[in-house]
Amino acid sequence: MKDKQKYIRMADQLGIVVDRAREYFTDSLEEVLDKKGIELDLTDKSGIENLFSDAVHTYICAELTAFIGYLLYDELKEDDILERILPGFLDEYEAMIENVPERLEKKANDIFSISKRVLESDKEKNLIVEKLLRDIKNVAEVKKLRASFDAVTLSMMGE
Amino acid sequence: MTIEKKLLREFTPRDDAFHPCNVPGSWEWWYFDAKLDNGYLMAGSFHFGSPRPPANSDARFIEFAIYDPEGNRRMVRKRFDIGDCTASEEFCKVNMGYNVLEGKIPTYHIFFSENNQGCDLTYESMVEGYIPEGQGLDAQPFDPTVYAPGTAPGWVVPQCRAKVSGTITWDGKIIEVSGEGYRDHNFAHQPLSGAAGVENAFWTKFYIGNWTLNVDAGRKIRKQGYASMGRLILYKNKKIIGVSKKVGGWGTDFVVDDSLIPWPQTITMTFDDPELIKGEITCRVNKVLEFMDLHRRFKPFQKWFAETFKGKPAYRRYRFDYDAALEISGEAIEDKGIGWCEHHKMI
Repeated sequence: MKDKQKYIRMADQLGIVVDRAREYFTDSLEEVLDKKGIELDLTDKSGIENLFSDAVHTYICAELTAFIGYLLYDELKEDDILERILPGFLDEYEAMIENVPERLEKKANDIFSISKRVLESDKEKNLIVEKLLRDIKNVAEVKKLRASFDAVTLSMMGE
Repeated sequence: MTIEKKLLREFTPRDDAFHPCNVPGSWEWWYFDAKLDNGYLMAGSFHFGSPRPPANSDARFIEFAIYDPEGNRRMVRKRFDIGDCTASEEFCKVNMGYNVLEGKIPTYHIFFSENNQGCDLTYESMVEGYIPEGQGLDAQPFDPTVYAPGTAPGWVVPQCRAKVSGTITWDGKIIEVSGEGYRDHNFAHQPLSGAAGVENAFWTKFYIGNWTLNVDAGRKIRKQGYASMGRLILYKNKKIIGVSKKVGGWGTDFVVDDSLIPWPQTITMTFDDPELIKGEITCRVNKVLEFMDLHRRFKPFQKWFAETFKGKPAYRRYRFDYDAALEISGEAIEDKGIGWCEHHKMI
């Protein structure tokens, strides 16, 4: 429970940072378009902000977490980093996302297929790799960020 | 006329010799190709070290491909033990098993035979050798504690255009041939994983009367505004009359085949160096001769990550019909013909 609260708090912070970034991006874009004589109304701005969030959620959140996680794991050799701490954090962040982007859904589906194929192959896998593969198999349908995190980590491990 | 002297110096036999390098992942290849008068095309390379990731400096192999006039292909990739291969550090003399690639400008001899395919050819230079300054023996910017003199990364072209004569062997049948061919030689200290910032690049040669064009034309990635990039080495008769980087190239009319990696049916190469060359060459692909998915040796998640975030790099070789409309040093040059090129899709 204590961990969950910690993850929620950090996920909250990430949400604040992403919100700030999307507002900055939208305001900057508005300035550029204004110089071209193009005006944005509130609906336009909201739409742009959502696009920005979609891009961050689809291509940055899990990936950045995986890069850092891999670095820490490689240094400290603590399985918990990859199995519990960072996935837990991403799960709580994903729970706060209102609309999961379509591309993130597709990404997770692709990852699930690859993971299933690799699990079914005869190739020898070490314990942490096996755990990440099984995690994808178990969660990809409902926890897209976590599946992405697992996939990127596996990629960094040379799988 | 423009000659960028900073890119040019005299070719020496050692430039085409072996460049030993102790950096893990270093590799070297001696490449040759030919467009034969009977409609056959041929390309091959003798390799010391594997250039593609994961790199292996101890690998020794020959790749050899012949294409008949219909575009049918015979490809051989033959591996050798390191102990069965030698190469001179003084001039070009590469022995791999009983296969040989040797010579000095103006004459080279190439012999290869494996699995009923092969060649026994003589290449006689029609133009001078090319070496960019700062490469090969002169490569001073490179750390001398890592690179012995003359071993830093480089590309040299001993024979951009050569008269080819001899035989090829197709399915055991020995065929007398003649034509025009090309030889170059690459060496580097790290795997060939694509030039940073390049989206696509097309490499080929055009032999148009007494003009010879060695063209590498492409464009940069989206982040760099798809800016044109490339290099042209231009010869008139035997001599290089200019080297220009005001070159660009791109593909259009893309198709997607079973590989799921698109390729262009039309390739446009542009030249915009008014003192030297202006104009365009349009190439219409009539046959895809070779295809290689450059991620094919990646593990599943490495491949997924690379394709999701970087792209789908591929190598293809095309045969095409071309139309050239150029102005070279004030002279209008128009030509039509058949050619072929390499397509390096970097992302």
